[in-house]
Parts: sequence; structure tokens; C-alpha cells
Amino acid sequence: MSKMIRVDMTKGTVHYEPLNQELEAFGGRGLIAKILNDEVDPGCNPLEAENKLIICTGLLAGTPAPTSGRISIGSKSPLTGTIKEANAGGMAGYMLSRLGVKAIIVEGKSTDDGWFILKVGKDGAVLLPAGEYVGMRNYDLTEKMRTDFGEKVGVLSIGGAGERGYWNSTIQITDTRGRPSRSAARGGLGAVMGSKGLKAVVLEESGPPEIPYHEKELFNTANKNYIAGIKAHPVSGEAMPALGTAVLINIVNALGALPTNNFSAGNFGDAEKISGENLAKIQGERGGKENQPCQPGCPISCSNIYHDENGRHLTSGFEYETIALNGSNCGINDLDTIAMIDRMCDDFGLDTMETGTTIAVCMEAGKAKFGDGKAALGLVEEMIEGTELGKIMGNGTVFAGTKLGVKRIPVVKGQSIAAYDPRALKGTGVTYATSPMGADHTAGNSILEQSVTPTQKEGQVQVSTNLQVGMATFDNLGMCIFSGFCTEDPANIGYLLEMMSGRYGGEWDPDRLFTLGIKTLGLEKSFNSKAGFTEKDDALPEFMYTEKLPPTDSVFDIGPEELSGAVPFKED
Amino acid sequence: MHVNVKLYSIFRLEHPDYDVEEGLKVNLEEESTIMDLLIALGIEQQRVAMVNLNGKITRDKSVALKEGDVVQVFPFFGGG
Ligand code: SF4
Repeated sequence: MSKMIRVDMTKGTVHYEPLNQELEAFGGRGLIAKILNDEVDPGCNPLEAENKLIICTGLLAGTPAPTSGRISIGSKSPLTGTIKEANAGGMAGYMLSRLGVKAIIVEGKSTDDGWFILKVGKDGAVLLPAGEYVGMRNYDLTEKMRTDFGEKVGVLSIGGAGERGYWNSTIQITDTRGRPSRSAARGGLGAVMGSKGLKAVVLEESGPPEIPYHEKELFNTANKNYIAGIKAHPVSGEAMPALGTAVLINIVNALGALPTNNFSAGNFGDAEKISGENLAKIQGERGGKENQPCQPGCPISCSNIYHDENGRHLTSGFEYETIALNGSNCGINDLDTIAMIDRMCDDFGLDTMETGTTIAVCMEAGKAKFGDGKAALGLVEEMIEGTELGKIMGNGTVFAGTKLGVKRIPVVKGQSIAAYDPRALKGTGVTYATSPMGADHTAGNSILEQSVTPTQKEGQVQVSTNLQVGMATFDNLGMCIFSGFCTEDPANIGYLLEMMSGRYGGEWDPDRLFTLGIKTLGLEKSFNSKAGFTEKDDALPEFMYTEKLPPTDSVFDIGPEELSGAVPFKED
Repeated sequence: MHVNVKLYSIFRLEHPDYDVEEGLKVNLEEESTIMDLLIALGIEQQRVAMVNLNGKITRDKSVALKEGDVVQVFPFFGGG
């Protein structure tokens, strides 16, 4: 039986508990949905004691299944008011599973504004005063943690944004080199952690986990075949290892869906300058690196290390979404400026995506000119310093846009739209509108879908629904969604099913597997509806229905009636 | 006739002397199709996810090309 750790920040206590059978059946995002439905009042104030923060691994954690070390973090979100799960790579999931812990539930709120860190090791878990760590940014903090607790620790931490309660605040996670470059970025989870008085979680090295396989041989054989499937797929075997997610800049630009100047065009004249191809070229000259694993043993290794012009490390895990939303969407054509924004965000604990869209609405409000990289850096600096404008920006795109009188605010349920303009990629648009998470590309992105034309209206609701179920399923397994591209070949789904049988026993067929995703979506929708959300909230921002997006001149034309057919799942 | 070809992602890496500004000038017989162009480039068609012809996405590789066409060729992609 797996264990979970319950941390009561009000009382300052830490207990281990077994998971009951019902909870054992879920992992990652599904486990979070179940626990939040069972234990948290959906109407609660997200930044008060009654909300809970859940940190957990997936169903295949601890096994050699490729990319199975994702960490899921969830709560009721202060940014959206909905249920929220954000998952990330890095070392946390891997380390937690080696410690035999499936979940950590953080509840209550520390009294007298005291700050703590939670240390989890072989011999147990303990809350320690956060002392000097308070006020530290993520890069300094993780370095000090390695000195204080050992080189091999995994760390989850919040920076100043989370301490200050910004609705745009992340929980950063250390990568394979110990840098806090991976992020449970979306929905302001850093503020939830900060509201409880928890500055960081440090996970100590403990050796390989004991996983109770039902049939280890079956698991191992299927696992080998599945890895071969990942490597044989053109995306996960070829394009992503070579160029990472940034390869999408030129592609999405060609589709006319690259957010440009606050979602006013789908084409950016300087796309080539901020492209993945150019990034690889520059980094080849400077000694930066492509093809890096964000977690141990990833066969895809889509991550990167970015060096500045002097050949020194500037940032890692520099991704498409960050580049597009802080680049083209702000009219900025300089990769070094965007990489600096990425570094500042990781360090202070800001979601790079929400930050990019917030800068762009500030530009639309006249606070800076589109294309002015220096001014953009200045705006991020204001968030870090906590000036009046900085604090407004720190609460995200809709908050800042509303305060500054901007009409075109690209959000759904309070969360900013990702780096695909939904007017030119309508399947992803349906996902933005109907995902229980708010606008979220990882909930079901139709970029790879070959069966429909991106701008066509017909068929997109079905495309999005299928994708959302698939993504929610992978988010239960605790596997990176990039390891799932190969499941378009049924043979690879077969291997995945055998892996589940080998690990847990019983018959696994596609129905049983994808029921994990369906149940998760149902639980999430039920939480949201109790929090007061209705079908009216499943909509894109007004301007996307009326304003034509050049160069396709497409508008989003999938209405409420059709959208109500997406993810038609309910759980009580 | 000549068409102007732009390569992306791994196709670009496979052509190390590719010039980003200029692209590739490819000489083809009259009435050649996108398929013929791919053969001339040595790119297997099952590796091509998307072609953008003069700014418009096309998945039909039997379309005939004409002098001066700009053809962007993309391999499979994903991520984000
Ligand atoms: S595919 Fe990329 S993001 Fe996913 S686990 Fe591997 S390195 Fe991390």
C-alpha cells in the first residue's frame, strides 16, 4: 500500500497515512481531483486555511516507464477560482516515488506568519523553520539547499511571487542538474503554498524504490517495446530531441496561429529570429545544449540549456510557450531578451506564460511599446520589486488588463490563453473554452491532429474531447504527454496496457485506461460547478468571436451550444 | 521552372548548407507537383506533415507548381 503525508500547517504536525483503495486507483491529476472533491469546500477562499495543496506522483511513478516521474500539484486556484492541477518534470516526482510517498497534502495555515520548509527523507518527514530561506529567490534557495541538505536533493520551492501571494505565482522544481527550471506554473499554486507558510519542500535521496509489481516480467517487456515506440515516432523520436518544443515557432507561424502583439495577428514577421532552428544555431555557437532530459531517463529529452552571449548559463527549459508569449505576442524578436525574462520568472516564481500575456496587455494599454524588449524587462522587474504596477501585474492578465482599461484580454476562466491563437487552431480553442482548468494547452492541443483543418469548425468538439480524455489519462499515469504521441499506433497503446497489468494486475483494455481520464474530467467539472461555474463560463474572450485574425481572417465560430457537447462527463 | 523552397525543423538540419534568408532554389520540369519536388529534395513524403504553398497550408501533394512558387516544407511536429 502507498503512503501519503499529511501536513497540518496550523498545528505544525506531519503524519504518514496509508492510501485507501479508492485513492490507489488514481494518480497525479486524477488523485488531486478526487482528494479535492472529498476534502475541500469548492466555495472556499483559495488563499485561506480551508484550501489544500496536494503534491503527488502518477500511477507509474517509481517504475522505469519513460517520463513517469512527472509531479502533479493541485489546489483550488486563486487565479481562476476553479480546480487546478499543474504538472512538471524535473526531479521531484522521481525523488518522491523513491521515498515511497505517493502524495503530500498540505492543509491549514501557519500561525503568526511563520515560514517553514518540509523535509522528507528515508527516516520520515519534518517541518523545519524556514529561517534564512525566507525571501530567497529560487536559484539561490536551491543552491543553498544543496549545501545544507546534500547535492542530490530534489526541491520544490516558491520565490517572492508565491511569498507575496501573487495570483501569478509558480512552484518551481529542480531539474536533473539541480536548477529550479521546471515549473508547476499555471493557476497561482505558488500563492497557495505561500498562504500556508510553506517556502519549500526538500526531498532527500533514498535509493531505488520497492515497487510491488504484479508481474514484473510483463511490465519490463512491454516497457521496452513502448520506449521503442517513442523512439520510432517522428515527433518524439526525431523532431523533439533535436529542437525541443521551440521548433513550433515557425510551424505555428505558418499556420497563422502564432500570437502576435496581444493576439492581434497570427503571423510574426520576425518569427525566424525567435525560432527553434535559430535557437539551436545560436546555442551551438555559445556552448548551450539541446536534447537535455528534464527528468532521469527520458528517452525524448526535449529540454535545453541556454547560454548568454558570454557563454554563461542563463536559463534552462526554455520552451515554445515562453518564447511565443514573451516574444511575438509582445512584438519582441530577440531571443536573449526572452531568455532573460524566462530566467527572471523562474527565479522569482512567475508563470512565464501568464507573464507574457500580462506584458502584452500592458503594452496594449500604452505602458510600453510592442517590440520594446527593454521595457518588457522593466515590467518584469516591477513585478519583482513590487511597485504599484508590478503588484497589479503580479495578479495576472485579467486583473492587470481590467485595471488598465484594456478591452482585448486573452483569458478563459481567468487564465491566459496559451501560445496558439484559437481562431486559427479551433480544436485547441474548444479545449481552452471547455477545460476545467481554464485556457490550457496541455489539456488537449489539436496541433498534431491531421483529421481536421485547423480553421474548420466541424469536428473540433470531438477532436478536443478525445484529446482532453487522452491528456487527463496521461496526467493520471504521471507520464509526460510527449511520451504519448506514439499512442496513435494502437500497438503502443497495447504495450501501455500491458505495463498497467504488469504493475497493478487485472485486465486492462483501452476502456479501462481512458476511464481514468473521463473520471478525472468528471470530478473536476463537478468541483467547478459547486464553486459556481456554469456553461456560460465555457467561452473564449469576446473579441475572438468578432475580430478576424490575419492572415487566415478566421474568427472563432463554435458557439455555446456546440461547446456544451465537449467533455460531457459528470462524477458525483 | 524554379521554385523557392523553405525547410524547417529537422529537414533544415539535414541540409547543413541551407541559407535561412534565401531558402533553396530548386529547378523542376514544367507541371511538376509538390510530390515531384519532395522527390527532388530527397525527402520521403511520409515524413512531411504539412506544406505551405504561397502562404496557404496544403496537404494535397499532387498540386502542380508554377514558376516562382514559395513552398515551405514541415516535418511532423508536436509539443508546446
Ligand atoms: S519529453 Fe521533455 S518535458 Fe517530457 S519528460 Fe522528457 S525532457 Fe521532460
